[in-house]
This record gives sequence, C-alpha cells and structure tokens, in this order.
Amino acid sequence: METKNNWKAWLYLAPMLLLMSVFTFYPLINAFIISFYKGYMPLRNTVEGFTLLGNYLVILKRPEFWNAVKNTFVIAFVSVPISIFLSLLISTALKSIPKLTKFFQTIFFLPYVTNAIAVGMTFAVMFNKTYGLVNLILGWFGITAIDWIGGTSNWGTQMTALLVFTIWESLAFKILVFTSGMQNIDKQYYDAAKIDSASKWTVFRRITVPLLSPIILYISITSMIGALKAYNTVIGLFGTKMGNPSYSMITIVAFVYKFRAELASKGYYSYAAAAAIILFLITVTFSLIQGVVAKKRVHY
Amino acid sequence: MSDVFVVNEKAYRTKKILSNVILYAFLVFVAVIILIPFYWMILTSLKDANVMEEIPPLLFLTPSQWKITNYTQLFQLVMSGERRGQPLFPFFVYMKNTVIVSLITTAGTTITTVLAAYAFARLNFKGRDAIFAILLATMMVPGEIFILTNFLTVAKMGIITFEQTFYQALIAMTLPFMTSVFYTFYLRQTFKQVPNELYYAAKVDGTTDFGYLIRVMIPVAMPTIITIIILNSMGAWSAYVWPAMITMKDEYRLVSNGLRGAFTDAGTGRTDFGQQMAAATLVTLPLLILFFAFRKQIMRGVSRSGIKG
Amino acid sequence: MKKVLLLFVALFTLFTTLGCVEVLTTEPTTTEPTTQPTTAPTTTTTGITQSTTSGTGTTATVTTTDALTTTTTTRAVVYGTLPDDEIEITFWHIYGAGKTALLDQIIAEFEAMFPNVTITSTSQSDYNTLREKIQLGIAIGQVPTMALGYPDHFANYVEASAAYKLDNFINSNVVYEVTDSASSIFGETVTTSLDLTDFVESYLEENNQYKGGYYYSVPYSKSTETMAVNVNVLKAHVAEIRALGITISDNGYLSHNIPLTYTQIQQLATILVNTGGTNAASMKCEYLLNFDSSGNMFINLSRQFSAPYTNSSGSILIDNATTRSMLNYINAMFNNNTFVLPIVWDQTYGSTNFIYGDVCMSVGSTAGVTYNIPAYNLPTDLNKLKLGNFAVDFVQTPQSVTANGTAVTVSSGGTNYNFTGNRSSVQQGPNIGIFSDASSAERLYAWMFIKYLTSTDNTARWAMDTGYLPARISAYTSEVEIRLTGTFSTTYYDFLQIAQDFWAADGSPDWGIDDERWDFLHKSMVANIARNQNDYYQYDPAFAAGSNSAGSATARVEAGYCLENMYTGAYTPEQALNNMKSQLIW
Repeated sequence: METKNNWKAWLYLAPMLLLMSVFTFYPLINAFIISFYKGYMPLRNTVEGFTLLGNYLVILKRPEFWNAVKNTFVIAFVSVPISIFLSLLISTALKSIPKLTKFFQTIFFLPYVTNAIAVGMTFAVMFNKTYGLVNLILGWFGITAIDWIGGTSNWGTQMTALLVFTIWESLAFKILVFTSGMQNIDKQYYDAAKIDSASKWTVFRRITVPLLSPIILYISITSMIGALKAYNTVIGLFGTKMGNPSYSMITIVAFVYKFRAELASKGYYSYAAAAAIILFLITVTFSLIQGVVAKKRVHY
Repeated sequence: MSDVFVVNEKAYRTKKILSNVILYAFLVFVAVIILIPFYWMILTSLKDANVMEEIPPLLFLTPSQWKITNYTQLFQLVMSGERRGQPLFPFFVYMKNTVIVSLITTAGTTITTVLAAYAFARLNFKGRDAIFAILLATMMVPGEIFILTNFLTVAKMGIITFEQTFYQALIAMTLPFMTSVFYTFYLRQTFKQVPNELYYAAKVDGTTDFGYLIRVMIPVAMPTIITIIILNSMGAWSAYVWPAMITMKDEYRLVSNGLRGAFTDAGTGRTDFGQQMAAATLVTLPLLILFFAFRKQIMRGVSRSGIKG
Repeated sequence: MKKVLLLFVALFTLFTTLGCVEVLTTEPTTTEPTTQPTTAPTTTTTGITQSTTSGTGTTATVTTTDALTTTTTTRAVVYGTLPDDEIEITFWHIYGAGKTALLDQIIAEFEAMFPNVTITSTSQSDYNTLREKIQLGIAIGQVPTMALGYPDHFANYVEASAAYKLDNFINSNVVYEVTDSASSIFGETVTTSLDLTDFVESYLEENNQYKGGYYYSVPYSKSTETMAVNVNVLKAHVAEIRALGITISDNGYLSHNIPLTYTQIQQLATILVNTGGTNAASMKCEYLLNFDSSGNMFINLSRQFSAPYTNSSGSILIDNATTRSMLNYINAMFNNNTFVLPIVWDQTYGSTNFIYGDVCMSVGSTAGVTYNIPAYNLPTDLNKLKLGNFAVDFVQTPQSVTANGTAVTVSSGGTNYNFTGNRSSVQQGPNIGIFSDASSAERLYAWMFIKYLTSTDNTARWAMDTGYLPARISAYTSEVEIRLTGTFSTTYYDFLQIAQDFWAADGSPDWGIDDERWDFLHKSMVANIARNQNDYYQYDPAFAAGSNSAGSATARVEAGYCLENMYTGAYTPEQALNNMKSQLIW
C-alpha cells in the first residue's frame, strides 16, 4: 500500500529545501565555519588564522556565559511547563462554557497584535515598587511592597517578574493552537464519556490530552526551543542593561548578541557564532530527550 | 440527554451553575490580565506629553484629558525633505508595503509548508526522519546569526543599491521568508492525526498521493492551515531588523520601521511615547479586522460523527 | 552519522574553495604613521593639490573671499574647474521626518549655488541602524557619499578604510570660480581649503584623533552638559551660602563664569539636603545633585580627578589606584545623598524629579533643557510639585579645580581624597564625514556642502534652531538673523544677550509679560553656560573594539553601569570596577 521509498516525496520537499539551503543552511554552515577561525572581519571577509576550539574556550571561560546558561535554563524549565498547563486549562475552560466563547477567544488573541514595545512598557510599570499593579494587589492581602525590578531588587524577584512576563507572552499562541486542536477531537469520544459519567478530570486526562498529544508535543518542543532563545522578553522588561546589577538577567542569546553588536570589529563575529553553536548543541540535547520521552506518549 | 441517570436533578443543576460561575470567573480574570497591555497602549496614545512625564504614571484619563492630537499629528504633512508632501507617519504607504510583503510571504510559506508537511506526515522515503530532525535543528539557532550572511547573499543578487526599485526591495524582503519549519512541524502533526484507514481506502480507489492531499488532507486540516495563514501574515507587522537593513528608500519601509526609531528625538534621546503608541494602535486595527474576518474558519471545528466516507 | 560527517567535510571544502572565507595568515599591515600632530593645520601651508583640477599653474598671492564660508584669505592659489556633470550626493542622517526643515533649507540653498548637484538626504531612524547599515554597505560597496556619525562610528569606518581623509581638502590651495550662469553665486569664488582656527579646539581634536592624526570628520552638531539649579531653594538660603564663600546674588543666582567646586558642592549639601525627604517649609531637598548620564559622570569625573580611563589607541586604563579612589569618593557621596542617579526613582532622566523638588540640582544635556522647567511641565496634580513652581537657573557643571587653578581636596567621613585637578566638561554630538567609495567629483561637492553647512552663519542658524551648540567661535558674533517664531527674529549674539540681561537684572528684568524673550530665556542661559565651558571641553577617545578589548561605545555604557551598580548597592566600588574591567578586557 505505502511504497517504502517514495522518491516523489522529494518533489514535495524541493521548494522548501531549495529556499532553506540558500537562506538557512548556508548561513548556518558559514557561521559554524567562522566559529573555528580567529580574527574574522566581516567587512573585509578575511580571517587571521584557524583556531579550532579557541573561540569556544574563550566563551566557556567567561563567568557571564554560565550566568546566562543558568538564567536561560530557569526560564525554559519553569515557564514552558507552566504556560502549557495554563493554556490547556484555559482552552478546556473555553470549550466548556455555553456562551461567549467567541468573545473570549478574541480577547485571548490580543497579545499577538499588541505592539511589543507597549507590552514591555506595561509590565515595567506593573512591576514597579511604588505604583505598580502587582504590589497594589499584594497590598490587599497585607503583603508589603516588593521591589521586583528596581534598584533594590534581587535575582529572585527579577526572575519571577521575567517568568510572569514570559508566560503571559506565550499564552496567546498556545491557546489558539490548543483551541483549534480541541475542535478537531471527535465529539464521539466526549459523548461516550458522558454516558459513562466520567468526571471532568478523567475526561481531560484520558481523552483530551491523549488525542491532543501530537499538538502538545509540537507546542512542547517549539516552546522549549523558543524559551532557550529568550531575548526579547529580557530586553522588553529590563532594557539593554538586563537587570540589576547589570547583565544579571542575561540569557544565552543576549550573550550572543552582545558580541554580534560589535560585528564590524575583528573576531567578534566568531565569538558570537561560537556561542550560538553552543546554544544549538544544548537545544539539540533537550529536544532529543523530549523526543524520546514523547515516543511513548504521543498517539497519532 | 442523560436525565435518566441523574439521581438528584437539583443538585446536578446547582453543581453545573457553580462550575460555570467558576469557569467564567477564571476566564474573566485571565481576560483582564491579557487586556492590560492593550489598554495601556491605547491609554498612552491619548496622553499629553506633560502627563506622560508624571510619576506615578496616570492609570486613567477622563475624556477631557484625551489628547487626540497624538493621532492627528501623524497625518500632518511633512513640509520638506525626502518625505515632502507625505504625512508624518505614512500609514498607508507603510501599510501597503506590509500587506504586499505579507501576502507574498504567506502565499509562499503556505505552499511550501503544505507540500513539505504532507511529505513528512504521509509519505515514506529514505532519510525522512533524519531530514526532519535537521530541519528542526535549524530552529535552534538564534535568528540574528543569519542576517549578515543573508544580507551578503541578497546583495550579490544586486538588489541592494542606491537605485533600488520597489520590486527589488520586495524580493529582498520576501525571498528569505517563503518557508517555515515552525509551521511545517505544526501542520505535520495535524496531518498525522488523519487516520491511516482513509489513506488506504483512497489508494484502493486509485487516488494519487497528490490527489489525496488536495481532496482529503487539506480540507480536513483547514483550521490549522487558516491558523498558519493568519499567524504568518501577522509576522510582517513585527518584522523589524531585516527590512530595516535592506530597504534603501523610505517609501519601501514596513510599519515596524516607522514605529521604532521614528519617534525618538535625535538630540535628547527621549521618545515621544504618545505618538508612538498612537501609531502602534493604528497599526493594530487592520490586524484585528483580519482576525475577525477569519476567526470563524479557525474556530469552526470539523464535526465528524464517524469517519467520512 | 558517517554520512553527515562526510556531508559536512564536503560542504566545508566547497565553501572555502568558493572563497566564502578567505584565510589570511598575517594581518595586513598599514603604512600610516602613528604620530599625531598636536595643532590644527593652518591655511598657510601648501597642501596637496586637488586631483580634479586642471590647474593653470600657481598664480601669485591672491586675496579671495570664499562664497561658502564668507571668509577671506590671502595666499598662493591654483585655479581649478568645477566638474559640471550631474552629481548626486547621498547624505545619511537620523533626523525624523518633520524635523528636517532647516537642513532641507540649507540643502536647497546649496543646490541653488551648484545647480548640477542634487543632495538626497535620508533618515535612518537612529544611530545604531545608521551605523549598521553603513557597515553593511561597506561590506557590499554601497555606502552613501556622506553621513553624520559619532566618533565611535568613524573609528569603525576608519578601521575598515572606508572614510575619506579630509586633510586633502582642508589644506588644498585650489580655488574655483563659479561659471554656471544658473548658480546663485555666479561669478564668485569658492575655495577648497578650510580655516580650522575658527572651530572650537577640542571639537577639532575629537575629529583628528584617528590613526595618523588625519581628519576624517568635521564637527557639526555638538552639545554638552550643564547644571540646572532650583533658584527658590538657593534664595531661601542665601545667607548661609554666602557664609561658605560662594558668590550668590540676593535672588539666588550663582556665578555663571566660575563653576562650583566639589568641595563647595559638599558644603551646599550640608545646608540644602534634608535626610527625611524634601521639606517645603525649610526649602530643602532629599538629594542635592542628580547626574542624568552615569556614563558621562564616570568619564568626566575621571578626567577631573586625573584618573586614567582610555586612550585613542584603544587601551582600557581603568585599573588604577586613582580610579578606585574616585569610585570610593563617588560612593561616599551617593551614601550621604549628595549625588544621586535617576535609577533611585526608576527613571531614565532626573528632570521630572527635579521638578517635583526631590533633588535641588541636576546635571543634564543641553539638548533637553525645557524638561527641567516646572512651568513647562506642570503635572495634573500640582501637589506633586513639593517645592512649588520654582524658577530655574543654569550654571556650569562642578569642577575639581578652583578659579585660579588649584586642585580642591575632597573628603568624606574622615578620608581625604587627594586628586590633581583638571578642568573638564563633556562634549557630545555627531560630526560629519565623507566616504572613500564616492567618485572624486562627488567627494568634492560633498566637501563643499560640509563647508557650507558648518559656515559661521549656518552653524549659528543651526544652533538657534535646534538648541545644539555652534561649532565655530565666530558664530557668537555672527550677524545673520534667524527667525525663531512668527514674530521674533534675532542674531545669535542677541540671543545670548537674553540670558545676560536677565542675570544682570538679578532675575527681574523689565520685560513685559508677552515679551518673546521669556520663551527663549532658558535656552539662552544654556547657550551661555556652554560657551563658558568652551575652554575646557574634552573629548572622549573613540576607538573600535580590538581583538581582546571592547570599543569606546561599549566602554561608555559599562562606565555608566559601573556607577549604577555601585549606587544600587549591588556591588561595592571594588567589585563594580572589577566587573567593568571584565566586561571591557578579555
């Protein structure tokens, strides 16, 4: 029935692969190669010499790099599970209410269209120590004002604010995808469950999640990749200073871009490329792990 | 209805109302949090420059405090220079450019994505999983690393010169973005949810692979495809770095270009947030309209009671 | 797996042979001399003759009036012919649409002088985009003819051998007679050379600090920092201030010729600072002196205290005892509320809190003058103005040296910080330069445009219109009248006179309520103060990043962060300095 080696498949892939070889593979391989050379000057396309792992060692020796790794991991491993869980919850709630579904769906889509600069500004105001909304609400419960991102904040409060911001930003897409995915689930299964008078939780666990699992896997992998590339959220909330003290909230990508900013100068592009390759290796590792775990749990 | 099995109808109804109330309360809570930045954007666009400076920032403005001039000033005509005769924020020019870029990249991406996702989901070929893994891997590298090399590549095509025409700028802005691993992965997952039996049945009927794609796969996965189309077209609104680099004339620029640097005073370094947010709000409107227009398609589920024959 | 490896090796060889990466074993050496001349070249030296001329031989000494700068010189000249082909010049800047009226007018006047030349000016939104686009343009051979930029930018362009050496023009003895009958200066002469003696000296030094000591740019739109002071607060404490030996008028106006010293600032803090917070009854503020830019603060104080910072070769010199001492002093001043940074209020600028009375004085850029005036920035709730709607005066930024040049001793908490003092004031703003890629005709006309743009009258016009400072000293006495509002035109000299009359009348001049001079008072004050600081402007060395040290732009940013980290208490002075060093040196 299904041919084992359908060579025509390559025709289907051709447009994509062609474009990607020029605009994705080529730059990637170029960057990869550059990371092995010393003193690369992009403006003149010359290098000073081959150094194999020299650039990588320079990066790995910098304490700031490891700080970036720590921050990036915290962002990835905390915000991704929480945002997936929250968006599943919200999508399920959306599906369960009798009316006003369309109204809420539209509202939940708004972060996607809100200007990124506005979002960063808003959260900076919300987390302000003296007049921010968060401290205002905490005050209702008798909690004293916390300095989230200001001059006396510490890593913990800043990271919490960053995580809240990151989760907020990532909800819109997930809700959209999950809602769309849930529509695809055959009503038959839900009717059967009703007849068996299964509880909502059981329905969720035994029907919704498994049938949605391919989509959940997609979200899980892409969110992890995206979280490991966190950059815009940091800049949006903290500006280029990236925290108090400076650069305390730096992520791996922010670290890469710090080098790339000096791109006209000798050797900096190589450092940026090396750091990017290191990030790439980290991401590959975690994606592989996710893939293996997923094999058992994803049903098509 | 399963009334027969309900023991205590009143208790059931109360429980249902209670759970609905909780659900609504939860959703309203989430909605408010989601709305805050959107509200802030509009609020800021109505603030006078003096009010903008205030500490703490005003959370609410009475209609008498609204400064509509932030919006009207955007349409004032520039008196001199390269933009002579055009409005301060050339909404329509930038929007036109953004829409065109958006249409082209979305059309390209949709086509390449549908074809590729189908190949990965349905067809069997040697190296399929390896290639897919490599494609996924490309998502794991931060985007700005590509910019330099892509810029040099595009320049070699001779379309980044001082005599750049609109078509050349268009090619430069769209060509690198006619495909997406991100959406291919998404569509592949959706395609894979279509039962194998449908495929085998179609094969028995003598349908070609391509025919199966057109007649079965695409209609079934239409909500996902529409989602991809909408999300992809919105990408053009936030694209900033690449268009800024490759456009040589102001009239080729996209909306995000107009928003970022344009409202910062060169001397003081201060940004006129009021005008910037007014421009941002104007830019958001078409996106909202787009979403409303297609929302039904996305949210419409395919109601199947049994496998489609 | 093996296949992937083979693929990689194949691609690697493919790409290297295709010339994607050119491997050099040694860095190409430059033949530029490394010594830098200390004085600006004068026009009496015979320079390199312009290559576009078809010289008719050197004539005898001639007196010519340059139509572009209206200066007259007497020297031996060579007559040349202006290229008459259609020339298009591209000029990249960062002025947003709607803010280019004066620039466009100057361009139009220039095009009328040279009808065969068209200048296309394009805005690139902001400095980072401008710099990056030019750098990318250098890589692909598509650079504009001329652009403005900071010294850091030009350091990068010079390193990439893309900027054009302007000494060729500055010292040239070629003159041209305008023979195009359509020109507005038909029959007049234009000289190529430029008399640099009229320019502010430190502006010039900033523009020829590059390798070889050549000029790669010309000063164009400069600014500096001045200090805004709360006159009402000063007035309430006049007797106490006089007791300290500080010159102050009865209405609270300090000297505008003699800057305060840090010792005096500390003494003022004991009188004017109230630790509990701003107090309207006693007219005291919570903090004494705000510094808007922590980067400038670090750099300027380093110069004032003779603490090494950087040099034009790119060496980072901050790891020394004097800098440590300076940081300890600044930290002590932070701790007793004498100095403050805007981050204490989670702000980028201190102007709003200055208006609210939280701080009595504020050092900030001359470009942002009006933000410091309560009357122009009244909040909706007037109670936020803790010290009311007070009058504002502008004075010079504090110095580490007294009027007769003696270094002051600053001390705090029993520790004496002994510095050898230097007068120093900040100098900022873009310069303008030409790129080598342009044709020689394009470069010539671009140079003529630069000359016109920076002529005495135009620099005066520019200064009055934008609030920047004139690049030339003769601008202060220029006779050109600039229209500031619909009904008010004035010369730069009279513009400066506004503040001088105001001060002479001790803040109560006999101007009517509707007199336009009120609207330009503060801008005039700032212009006067900036001029008084002329003598001791110092430029911040500009250099590109080296293979194991950062560039000057990064150094400035990290200097600012160093002080901020110290202020918030996240780092001790020692830690802050070490952190800064680790950011700048590999």
